[in-house]
Amino acid sequence: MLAKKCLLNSNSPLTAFTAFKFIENGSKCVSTAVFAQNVQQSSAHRSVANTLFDEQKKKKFAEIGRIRKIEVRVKNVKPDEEVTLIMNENISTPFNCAQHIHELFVKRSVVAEIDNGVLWDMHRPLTHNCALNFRHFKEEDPRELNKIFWRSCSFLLGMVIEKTFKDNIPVLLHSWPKPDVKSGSFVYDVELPSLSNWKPTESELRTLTAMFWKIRQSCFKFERLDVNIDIAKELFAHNHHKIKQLDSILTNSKETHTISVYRVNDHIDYSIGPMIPDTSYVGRVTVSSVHQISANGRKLYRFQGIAIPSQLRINFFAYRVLMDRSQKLNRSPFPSVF
Amino acid sequence: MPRLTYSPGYIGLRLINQVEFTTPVAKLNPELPRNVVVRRKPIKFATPKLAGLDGRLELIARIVTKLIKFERIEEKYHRAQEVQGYVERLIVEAMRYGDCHRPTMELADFWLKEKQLIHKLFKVLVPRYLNYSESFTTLHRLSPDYSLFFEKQKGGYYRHPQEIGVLELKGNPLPPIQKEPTKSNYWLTNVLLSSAKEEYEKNKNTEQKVTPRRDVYISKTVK
Repeated sequence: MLAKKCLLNSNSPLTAFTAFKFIENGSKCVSTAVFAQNVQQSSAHRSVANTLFDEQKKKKFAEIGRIRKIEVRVKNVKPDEEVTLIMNENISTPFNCAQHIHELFVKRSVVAEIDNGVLWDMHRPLTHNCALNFRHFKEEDPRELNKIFWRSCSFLLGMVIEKTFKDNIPVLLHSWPKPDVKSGSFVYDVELPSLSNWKPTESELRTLTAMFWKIRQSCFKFERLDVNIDIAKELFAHNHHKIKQLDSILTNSKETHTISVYRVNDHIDYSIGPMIPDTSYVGRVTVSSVHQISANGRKLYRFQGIAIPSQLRINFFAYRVLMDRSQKLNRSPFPSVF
Repeated sequence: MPRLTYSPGYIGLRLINQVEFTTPVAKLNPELPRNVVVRRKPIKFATPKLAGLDGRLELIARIVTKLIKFERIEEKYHRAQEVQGYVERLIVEAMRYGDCHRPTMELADFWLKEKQLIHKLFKVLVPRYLNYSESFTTLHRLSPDYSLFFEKQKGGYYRHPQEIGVLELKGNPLPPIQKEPTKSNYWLTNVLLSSAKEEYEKNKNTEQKVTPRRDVYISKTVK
C-alpha cells in the first residue's frame, strides 16, 4: 500500500496530519504515545472529565473492600461442555474468564451472554454467580451483536469528530439514533455553531477516515462505568445538549438514577451499551458523508460512516457498493431533545 | 495492547473434572519380560485364490460384508460403485420377502460372510429403510491416492494414482462426512449487502415507471 497524505486547505476546519503513518513505519499497531503526538491536543474540559472519571473508578474499586469469590460456569467450551471458574466478585470480567480458557475466546468474543440472555460487556466486572456464554460475529444469528457493533461505531465516530476539528471550532456532540444496520450507515448528529453551510471536501472526509483508522489501530479499550446522573452531568458540563438529554432521562425513568458511561482513550460519552471490547474489532471503515439536517428548527450536521468487523471479510467491490449507498442521507429519526 | 496484560481480575481457579481409573496403572503399561523373542515374519494364513468369475463375486461379497458391518468403508472408487448396486438389491430383497423366505435367506447367506450380520440385515437395516423413497447408500469421491505414484513397482512400472471413494449406509450413527453449510444470512456484511440490493431493486422499478423507454412503446403501438 502506498502512504497517502491528506492535502487540506489552510482554511479547512480540520487539522491536517499525515495519515496512514503506521503504514510507512511498517508496524501494524501504533502505540498510544504516537497517537497522542499526532492527534490534536486535548482541551481543558477533556482533562477535567478524565480526572473525574478516574476518581469515580478508584472510588468504585475502593468500595469492593474484602475480595469475595464467585462461581462462573462457562458454557459451550470444547472439549468440555462446561467449565467452572472461581473468580473475584466485582473485579473479574468475562475477558478474564476467556483468558483462562483459550486465546480464541479472548480474540473473537464480542460480548458475553449471562444467565437469562443479558448481554454483558467483555470488560465489565461480574457481580454474581452466573452461567456465561461467549458470543461472536460469525454465529448463526448475530443480529444483537451487529447492533452492538453499529452502536460502538457511532460512539467512535463522535470521538473522531471531536478530535479532528481544530481547537478554535467548537464541536457539540448531540446524539445518535438507535442502531439500524439495514439503513446502511452509522450516524452521529453534531452541532457545529461556528460553521454554517459547511460541505466537506473529499480530502476532508479522508482525514476523518484516517483518524478513525488511527483509533482502530491503537486498540483502545472501552471502559464502562455506572455513575450517578449528577456526576454524569459534571462529566458533560461543556455540552449543553448532553445535559438536557440526561435531564430528560431522569424525568422519564424515576427508578434508576445511574447511567452507564463509556470511555475510549480520553473520549467520554454515555450510552446504554453494551459495546465491543476494544477498537481493534473494527475492520474496514470509512467516514462517507456529512449532511445538514434541521431538527426542531435547529441546524445539525449528520455524520455518516460505514464499517465492517475485523472478523468478517469483504470484497473491495462489494465494499464500494456499500460505501456508495452510505453516502445517501440516512433517514433514521432526527434528534428531538434540545 | 490490552490483550497481553493480565489484570488483577485474571487471578482465579479452573476446576478440572478428575477421571477415575478403574484399571490399575501397572496394568495399562505392562513391562515386557526380557527374554522375549519377537518373530520377524508375520504369520501367513491360507487365503482362497480370487480368480475368475467366482473370485470376482467372492471379492464383491467381502466388500458387501464389510459395508454392512461397519456402515462406512473406504474403497477404490470403481469397486465401491459396483458394490453399491449389490448392497441396495440385497436390502430390497430382504425388505420384500422377509426372513422366512428360503431363497432370500440363501442370498443373504452368500453375500454376508459373517453370519451374525444376517440378523442385522433383517432386524436393523430393513426397519431403518422401510419408509425411504431414495437410495440407501451414498458414495463420496475422495482425492486420488498418490502415495505409490513415484515408487517403482515389481515389474518396473509406475503406479497410477488410485481413485478412492467412501461408501456408506444412510442413517448411520457416525459423524457426517459433509459439513453442514454455515448459515450466514444475519452476518453483518450480508445484512448490509442484502439491504443494499433491496434498495437498488426498489429504485430501479420506480425509475422505469417515471421514464418508460419510448422506442419500446412505439414499436408496440405500430404492431
